[in-house]
Amino acid sequence: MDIFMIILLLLAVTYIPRVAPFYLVNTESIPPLLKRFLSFIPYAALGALIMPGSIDAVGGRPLISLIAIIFAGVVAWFNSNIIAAVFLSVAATFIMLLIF
Amino acid sequence: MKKLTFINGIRDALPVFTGYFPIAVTFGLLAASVNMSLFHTSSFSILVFAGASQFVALNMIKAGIGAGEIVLTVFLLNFRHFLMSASISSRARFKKYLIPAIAFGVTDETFAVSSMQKGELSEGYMLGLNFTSYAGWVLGTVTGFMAGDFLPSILQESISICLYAMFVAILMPEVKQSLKAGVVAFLAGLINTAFTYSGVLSAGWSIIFSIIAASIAGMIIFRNRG
Repeated sequence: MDIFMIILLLLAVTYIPRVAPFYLVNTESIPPLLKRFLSFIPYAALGALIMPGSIDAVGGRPLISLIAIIFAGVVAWFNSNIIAAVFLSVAATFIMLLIF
Repeated sequence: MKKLTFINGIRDALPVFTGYFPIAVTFGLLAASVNMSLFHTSSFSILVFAGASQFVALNMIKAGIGAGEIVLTVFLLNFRHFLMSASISSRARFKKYLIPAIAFGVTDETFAVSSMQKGELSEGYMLGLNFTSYAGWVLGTVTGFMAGDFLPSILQESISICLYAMFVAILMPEVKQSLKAGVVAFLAGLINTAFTYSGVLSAGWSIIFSIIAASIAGMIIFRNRG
């Protein structure tokens, strides 16, 4: 099959799950139980995105990845500025890769 | 409640842009290395806009695997966005004609940023956030295709921590404020780790199942609190 046809099919199967809920879930008529379920999804999604993927963030360097992630967490704990935590974590990774 | 603006969205997208750009550069140069045209490579990122699954699809195309299997794999890998869009749409109402554009930019990263905002999610905010991130993805792809491996590898490797650092940085203030954020996130991570390393479920199913299971567990554990 032509590559562009495959790309169009991939557009369909990625876009439909992204857009359909906006038409299916109506904020005015949503059952309270479903609303509660959906309110937990941000936390659950973050947890599943972080674990276990972050250990492989820097390819082949699990220890450096782990230290950099913990460092980002510590910075964010004391100062909830996301950009600062991200920047410092990248800088720490850079320094660790230079040294080790 | 503070209404978030287009400019707030662009500003909040900066770590996403920084994280997306080098990954997309890698995608662009990999696509060039398997002799994809610039047209196909850029349409991939412009039309599909789906991180890791684009790499998977590229590998499958290269290996000569049939279109049906490629499409099914990518569908499963990205179906978690259904849950994310449902979560966003349960707390914000957008103008009908802007929904198709807002929904197009729902990714793990834009969802992580927008779903933790305490202010009111306006159309402007969502578009600023999603399209700045999208710009990083598309520009990175084209740059990688044309310029190849121009970033020093140590810099590229360092930036690869960016998106994970961002997820952790978004989660931390929530964990500090409420027990349920920490418990539900940790549970989801634990379940996903168990499924990933045991190989019981494929990557797509593993993350979907973890999100659903941890959210239901959260509803049960914290049933007496808001």
